[in-house]
Amino acid sequence: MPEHGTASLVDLLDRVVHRGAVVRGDVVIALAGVELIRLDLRLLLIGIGGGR
Amino acid sequence: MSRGLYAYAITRDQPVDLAGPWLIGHRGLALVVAEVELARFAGLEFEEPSEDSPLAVLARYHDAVVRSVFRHAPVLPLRFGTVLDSVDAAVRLLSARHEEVSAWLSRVEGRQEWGVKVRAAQREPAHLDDVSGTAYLTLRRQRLVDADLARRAAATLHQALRDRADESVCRDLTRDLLLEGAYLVDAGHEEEFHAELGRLTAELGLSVEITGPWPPYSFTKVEFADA
Repeated sequence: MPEHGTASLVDLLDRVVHRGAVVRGDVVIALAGVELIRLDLRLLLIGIGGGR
Repeated sequence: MSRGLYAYAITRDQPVDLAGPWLIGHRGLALVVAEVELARFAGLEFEEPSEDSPLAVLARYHDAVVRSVFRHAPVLPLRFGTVLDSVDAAVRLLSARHEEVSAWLSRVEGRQEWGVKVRAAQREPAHLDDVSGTAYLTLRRQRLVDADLARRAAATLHQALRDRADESVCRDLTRDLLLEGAYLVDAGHEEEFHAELGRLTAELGLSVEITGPWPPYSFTKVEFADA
């Protein structure tokens, strides 16, 4: 069975930054920087197909 | 405000030693948190993410914490950068969303996520100067047929894996990808899932990349709004 150790950074970022449950509302502190990363990463993932 | 409670995941309340992060429990559920400086999350933008970039380091740590919990109990990973303003806020969230969170934890319990990517075969560039018009057309037609076969093979693989998983999602395809799927597989079906993956990969002659096991990142698409 394959091991996790080789997971590429892109696969990891795709999951950690883009997926997972979202919490909204008064309880959370919005981090502007993190929203920018989501945009950056989305663009990167769209463009990266043949580049690796 | 310069500090906050970074929230990694929601799980069932239980004793876990996480060497840093701790659990805020409420009625059998718990939020996995750690106190953070908000400044650490500024300026993470990047051109190309590299292993030593601040974003990569933070994301790997986030993943490591989620995984440590995942080894012992069902886990609902929270999206990177979820920061709460207080312990009180964490308790309010768990209290307001108790039923919903419990249902999501049951849904992913005993299951792991596997990622499967299929890439189109690399083609030898054709030396068009050397071929006649007819040969060129034959070559082009052959390539279209090959591409179509590869797409069908990837679809066959996805169908077979989907049948052996509890849930599946496909990402939008970029350039040379024929399939980018994530599959949530029950522990009892894992052997069968991988056997089928191996068998079909060989039979269909596909170039497949497998990642995992992952905590169920791709299967917790839920928003806990206005807690």
